[in-house]
Amino acid sequence: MQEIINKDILPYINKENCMQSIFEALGKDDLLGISSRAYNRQDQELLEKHKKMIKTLTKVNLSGLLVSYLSQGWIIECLQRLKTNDYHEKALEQLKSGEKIGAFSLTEPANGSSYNSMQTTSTVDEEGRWTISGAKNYTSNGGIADYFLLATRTVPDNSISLFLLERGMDGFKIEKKNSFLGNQVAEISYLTFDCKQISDKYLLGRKGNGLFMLPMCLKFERIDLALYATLLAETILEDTIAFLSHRGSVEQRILDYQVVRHKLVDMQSKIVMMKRFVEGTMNQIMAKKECMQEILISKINATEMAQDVILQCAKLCGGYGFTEESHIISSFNDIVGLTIGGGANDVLRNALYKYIERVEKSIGGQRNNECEL
Amino acid sequence: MENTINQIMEFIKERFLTEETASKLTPDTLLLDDQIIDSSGILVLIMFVEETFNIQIDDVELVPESFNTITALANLVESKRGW
Repeated sequence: MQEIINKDILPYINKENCMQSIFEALGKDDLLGISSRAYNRQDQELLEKHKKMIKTLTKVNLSGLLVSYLSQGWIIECLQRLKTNDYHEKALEQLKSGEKIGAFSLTEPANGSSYNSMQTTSTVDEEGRWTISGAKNYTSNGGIADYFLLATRTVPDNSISLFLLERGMDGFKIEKKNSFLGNQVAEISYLTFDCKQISDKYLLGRKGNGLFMLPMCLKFERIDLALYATLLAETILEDTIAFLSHRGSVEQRILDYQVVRHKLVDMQSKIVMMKRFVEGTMNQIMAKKECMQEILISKINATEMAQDVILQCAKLCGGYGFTEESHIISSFNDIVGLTIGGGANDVLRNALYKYIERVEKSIGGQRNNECEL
Repeated sequence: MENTINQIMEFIKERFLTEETASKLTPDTLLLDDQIIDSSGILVLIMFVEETFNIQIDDVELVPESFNTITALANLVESKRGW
């Protein structure tokens, strides 16, 4: 995997069209959309390759590369499942080869990522032509993408339909409205749509497919983010240990202080536990077992654990921990964003509460009886 | 068909509903519109249906009309089984 960093990534950092060049190089080595293929073919070896790829990318000091890379994979997955015409097939090949870059657009300015209150609408006329109207916010890869997977609310029936739009289409505008501290190369953008009477070739699958495909795609997104967060925390901890082993006074390295050792042990324990849980959940997905609860738990806890570990590492490394060179504090900026991306953690906690309700349902009658006694 | 409807109904009652709400469930209750099940719950239901009835539902078949009632879902199952 180090060869991949040396060949496909390092030569292009800080060069013009950096991300486009990196994606083309990764595409040539067939390294895009790996997880999609791994889960669909139930290929454990390919899944291990996916994990190694993410671990490798955590070592590259290019903020947002991992989010961009994963984003491409999720769109490939969605397109693989819902392609119905030559336009979709061509886009899929171009995304897999890295010739083109994709962006997934769900979140809106007024109502976040809620399906029920989605305001970007799509309507179809009698000739099967679609009109799309609305705006999307915080779209990762928005500034560099060629294809955009867009979620809309189809009126009047209120179903969710997905479209694959192209940069440059009439009525489709891309702006960079926000300056993010993290995930810089992902070029997060604000999109507006006033696309009138476009061909139905842009519709992915069938009208209304979005309601089911979105949770399915979000399932892969969330487990990938959990894995990314866990492996990034692991990489930063490894770098911190390496740094601390050479720092200190003549008498004692920083690493030899008990309080420092205890902090490192606690952080490593959290990472090991999280890694086992996330990998176990990935195996459940591979085996096509129902594991929505585990996916949500993974995403929430991995991103929050990583946030805590990386900040502790920054502080342990002193001034160095806050430099661009160390990669630590820039990783912290990236990870904080991920406690919101893929579904804000508190929203996911609301979704998890239904499992508490099931516990309440199963024990409620029994406890009432005990009270009566 | 009746057997299929009953199996699906029992699963939904057991998995998603309390005793009070389960008593109101019918084959024609609007599962999505009445928010009996959310979109994540539908994925769970799809997995149950595929495993129980040994069928494969294509992604493009995942549209609200196929899932909004137990009757609609049972029809989909029967059509996949060739019945």
